[in-house]
Amino acid sequence: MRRPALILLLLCAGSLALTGWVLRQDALRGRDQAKSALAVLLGDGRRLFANHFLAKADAYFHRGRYPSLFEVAEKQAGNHLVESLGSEGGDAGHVQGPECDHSAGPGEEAHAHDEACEHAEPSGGPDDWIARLAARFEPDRHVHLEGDEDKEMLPWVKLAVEMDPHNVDAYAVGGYWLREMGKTREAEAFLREAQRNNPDSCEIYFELGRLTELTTQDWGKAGRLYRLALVKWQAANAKLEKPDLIALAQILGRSAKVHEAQGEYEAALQDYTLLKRVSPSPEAVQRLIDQLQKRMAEVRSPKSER
Amino acid sequence: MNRVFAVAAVVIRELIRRKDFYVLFVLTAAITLLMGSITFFNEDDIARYVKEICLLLIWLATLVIAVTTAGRQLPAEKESRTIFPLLAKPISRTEVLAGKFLGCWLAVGITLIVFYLFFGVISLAREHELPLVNYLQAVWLHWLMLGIVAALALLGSLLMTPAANLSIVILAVIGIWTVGEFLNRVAAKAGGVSGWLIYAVYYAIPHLEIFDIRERIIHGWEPVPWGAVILASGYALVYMAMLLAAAALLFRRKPLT
Amino acid sequence: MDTTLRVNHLRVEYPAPSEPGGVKLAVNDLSFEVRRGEVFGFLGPNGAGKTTTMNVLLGYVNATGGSAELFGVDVRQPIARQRIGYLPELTYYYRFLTAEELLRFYARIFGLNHHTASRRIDELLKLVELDGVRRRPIRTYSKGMQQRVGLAQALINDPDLLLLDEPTSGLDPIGRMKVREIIQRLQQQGKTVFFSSHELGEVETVCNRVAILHQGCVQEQGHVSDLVAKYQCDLEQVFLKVVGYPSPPRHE
Repeated sequence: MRRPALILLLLCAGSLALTGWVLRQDALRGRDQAKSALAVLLGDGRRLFANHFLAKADAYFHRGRYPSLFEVAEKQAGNHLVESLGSEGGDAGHVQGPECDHSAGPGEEAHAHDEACEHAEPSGGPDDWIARLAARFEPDRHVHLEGDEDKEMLPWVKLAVEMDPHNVDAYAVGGYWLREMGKTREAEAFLREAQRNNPDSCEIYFELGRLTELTTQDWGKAGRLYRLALVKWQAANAKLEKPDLIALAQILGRSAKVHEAQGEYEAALQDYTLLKRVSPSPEAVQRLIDQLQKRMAEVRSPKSER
Repeated sequence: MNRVFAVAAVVIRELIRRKDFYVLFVLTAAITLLMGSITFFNEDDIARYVKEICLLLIWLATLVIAVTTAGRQLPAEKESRTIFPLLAKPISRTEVLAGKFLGCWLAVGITLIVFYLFFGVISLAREHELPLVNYLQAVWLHWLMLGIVAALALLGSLLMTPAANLSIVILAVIGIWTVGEFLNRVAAKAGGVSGWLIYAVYYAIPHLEIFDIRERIIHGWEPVPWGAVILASGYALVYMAMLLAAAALLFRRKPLT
Repeated sequence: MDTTLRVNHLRVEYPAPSEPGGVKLAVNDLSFEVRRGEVFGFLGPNGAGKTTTMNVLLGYVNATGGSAELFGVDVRQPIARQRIGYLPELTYYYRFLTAEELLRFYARIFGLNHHTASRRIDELLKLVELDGVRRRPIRTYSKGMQQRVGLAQALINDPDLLLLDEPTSGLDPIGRMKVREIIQRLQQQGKTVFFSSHELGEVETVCNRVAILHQGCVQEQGHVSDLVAKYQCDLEQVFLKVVGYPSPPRHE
């Protein structure tokens, strides 16, 4: 065998083997040594790998349907940021979506996935005979993992954060899916690890809040986590020209819900009012405000009758 | 034809007696088993990521085997001067070339079967099912793709030094594999003369990505329609024939001394 | 007598940028014939054109002009080599094969059936005394053993014409004797041997006729006895005179 090819292959194989070994050591002995070994091995290339692995998880969610750079670029015009997860219902647990809008207001379906999440659709590029032939060999329908198939995404999420512990999206995605799969203990451990690695991330506090809300119904604790998320958001976005309003909307929405659940209607109203200013669908938020004010009136009126 | 098979048999025997294949197979198996032994979030029956890694390694290993085996055939014959006693026999250069190609292609086919048997065992152990039709399609399409690669490497070996041929063929294959299918989009965007040039490249290159159905077998999609498989087979055979015809023309005119 | 090998006004040029005109004339208007049953010596100093002529006969190089035929078939046709055996000066064989596998491979090229091939392989391996190591890879053979494999492969098809390129160079005295014996046995069987060599003593011993090449042309050809008689000296002296090398002074 010629030397360059052998070297190339041995490098690939060596990297994979070392990654496997490092992950195994990580599992057996603890994380710090493992992280430093990966850092030494891959340097800043870790971030590229992390993003690739997270995109891979997204592809797994769509059973192999994988948007290319070209498709993403074509569809990205007018689109938005990588979103935090956490909205309820629908396909809120979509893995990663530069093209997916998960920013709808609380209380609604997060988004109509099949309309908004177009990146998993076969893209409409030039239609020549080679493209038509090639299309017959690729996964050609927009489908999602079903039932316990969700677990198939987990290795890529884990690998993404191993590669880049500051990849907040990967932690948020993992936290969401572990929660969805009923692995609350693993979800909490994963998000706590995320918090240690990213202490200033509002997204992680938000995910922790969601986890608390859904698994323990400890509204007080969830509310505190959302307030911390708000503080972190303000610290990170205060001086930005284009602050991350989507993340803010999500935090405010959930915070309002928690206040509502605890009967703290004034605080909830305050959150909704702020939310209305930043939400892409203020009408929907106004409807929620109207409902809340109606309920507040109902609560007050028996008192006044008395 | 017997002469072509005789040359092919020597190529296969050479591959069997060299260590390359065994080293690559052991590496593939070891890395797959190592990666498969890792547990994520206490889930110990995750299958697709192990299948993905195993298939990626199989693709890399067989690509290297195909390019190195095909790329070294003619230069090694010339370098070790074995070509001289061979051509002193009643065999034409075209037959030698055809035998070399056939030998490489069959040898790569044998390695593919061994690699995919391992993949089948891994898949069966993890998922407790073996979609045979899908796997047969995967092996067949992969083999066709490697046939094109072997023909390309043989042609390259007549034009370049072995090291340059190896590097350029591997880079070209990976380039076609990853961006070949998007050249039409780039051409459409570029427009004008450069657009036409990119279109020309798009239609000239063999679209190796067609033969890659890894996503389908990792994620358990239904088999590819057989009509498409037949079309792809024809497409591959046309490219192999064209590349070999070009190689034969060159080889017939190439001075040996 | 039938003509086995015919070379007619052969001309071979090589591109050579350093030469005037950009080409080097390796063989110029070369003509000779080898008849059936002859042992023909092809002699000449280095660079005379012997190897080029051999390359044309084996189809490695195409002639620029003239023609060359084996058994009346143009040497450019692979079938022209169906009835020849070729032993190169040095051994160049697939080192990962065993002697038996190598011979079977060449037997297949000649289109021998399995039974005939097996019989020939047994005979030849016994002849070259490699029967005991027939299943060992050639890479484990000594140089002499590899030369003997070469001889066996040259005879695998029971050739009517044997082309030998410096067949005894690199062989020990026993090996040389063996080659001589084989050449003589082939001659007795009515086979033709075309023999390129620098070993003039050996040529004188085994050859019927010789051609002496110099600067791409045949300078002299004929029966060894005729040449010796014509020049009144041994073949070595004839050779030196023909190529224009001053004869050493005789010590009476």
